Amino acid sequence: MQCTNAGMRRHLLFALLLIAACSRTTADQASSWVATLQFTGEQWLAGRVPTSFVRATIDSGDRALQKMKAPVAPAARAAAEEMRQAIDRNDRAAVARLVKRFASLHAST
Amino acid sequence: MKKAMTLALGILTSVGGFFDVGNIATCTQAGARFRFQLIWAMLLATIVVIFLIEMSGRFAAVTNKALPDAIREHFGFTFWLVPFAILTVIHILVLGAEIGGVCFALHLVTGLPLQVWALPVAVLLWLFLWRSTFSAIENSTSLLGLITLCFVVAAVWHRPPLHDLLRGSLPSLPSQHPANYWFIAVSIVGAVIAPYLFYFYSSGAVEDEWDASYIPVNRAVSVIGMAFGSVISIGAIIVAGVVLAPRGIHVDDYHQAALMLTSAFPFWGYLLFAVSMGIACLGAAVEVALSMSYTFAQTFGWNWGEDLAPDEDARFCLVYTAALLVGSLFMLVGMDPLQLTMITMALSAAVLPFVAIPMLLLMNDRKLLHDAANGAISNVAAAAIVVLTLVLAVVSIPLAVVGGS
Repeated sequence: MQCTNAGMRRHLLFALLLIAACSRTTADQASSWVATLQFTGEQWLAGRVPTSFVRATIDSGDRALQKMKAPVAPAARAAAEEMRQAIDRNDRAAVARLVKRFASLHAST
Repeated sequence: MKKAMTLALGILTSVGGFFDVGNIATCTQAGARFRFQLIWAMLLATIVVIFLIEMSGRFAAVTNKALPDAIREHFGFTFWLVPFAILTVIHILVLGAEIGGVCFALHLVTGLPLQVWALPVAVLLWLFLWRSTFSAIENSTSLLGLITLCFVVAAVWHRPPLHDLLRGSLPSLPSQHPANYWFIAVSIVGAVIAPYLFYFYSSGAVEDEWDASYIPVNRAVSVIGMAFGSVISIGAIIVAGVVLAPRGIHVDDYHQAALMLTSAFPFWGYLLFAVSMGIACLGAAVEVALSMSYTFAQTFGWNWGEDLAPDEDARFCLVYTAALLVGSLFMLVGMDPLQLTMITMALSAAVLPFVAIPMLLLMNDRKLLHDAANGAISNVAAAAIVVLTLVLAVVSIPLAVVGGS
């Protein structure tokens, strides 16, 4: 019985460590994607990356953020969708505003 | 003159051939997450790979046998079957990851989804292998691979603080995310000490008809070539550390890594990254597919040689054909190329004892190697390598579970 309890404690400790590692990873990943979207927008404005790349990065970021429960994720996804529409319209002013929004979201994480 | 040419080409080959999808993934993750703090892992892996490559080349030059052939002959077919089966799985996974890298590079250039490129890339690789000779493959992919020097140029351009680089060259404990830190460190080692490298290198030495007089050439190629190759990888760590880390960007997806050269090369950076990745992975995919064919042919005693016509070694050609087909399936079903790469690198680290230990035992066989058998220095290094590979085998999978993102 003692052996079983010790075994259960070890499993519980491992599970807690795993959960702690995963939750920290989620917050980090969300923050990282917000920074990525900001940097991608900046590079698009500077003419350093093609529009197709920005679309693909938004898609990847959106897929990743969708899986996360981080507080910043919904706002970041909404801004990403707006950026997709802005680059489709080639609206540089809107993209510049969204870059600033990503910057403030990143600062809040 | 022929040896000088072999030396020059060998160094170029090593420089171009060192950098592949595993290096791109692990180095960019290391730099983005921990800046220069994991440079030591690359230096450690480089020292180990220099020893192992030198030994595998020396073995082939003296015995005129490639490693899988010699291990099967020396330890017996039954002993060899387990490592052979494990290494076949690793070969397929690495091939899938390399094909994923080429597909991603084409996705960056064209904007088309990765899945679209899986089969065309496999066919391109197959045509290349079917039509080319060994030296044509070795030299063309490696010379083109020199484009990856752009990471070194970018690293110099960014002028990273020298004291931070020196501090990163020494092992240190991370201030945060220890599981992720050790997972990336292990993956760096797994990416550099790729099992296929030794089988490819020793089989290549047999294909190039090396003899004992090539031992000094082999030593120079191993040391200078691998060291230069390592410089490119360190360049990638530095660039990711300077560009991505301060912005808080971690590389959980290759799209995030694709931005790392745009500061140093404003108008070419994006394309340079895509082309570097495409060529590096294309060259490595060819090497992995060939290494798998070499391993199969030497295990079952078939005719083998990339310089033979396909009808002279049909089963050898059949293996790389099937491997390319299976390797392309990972991208075809929509698997994430970066996740596939990181899992593969952790598994590569886990299976290193299966590659390193038999090789190191063979290197002490004086009946086979005579005066070229390992000396005291090589054996001290060999013992350290065995310990390292055993540690990696134990920790790599748990770290992938806890520290992999």
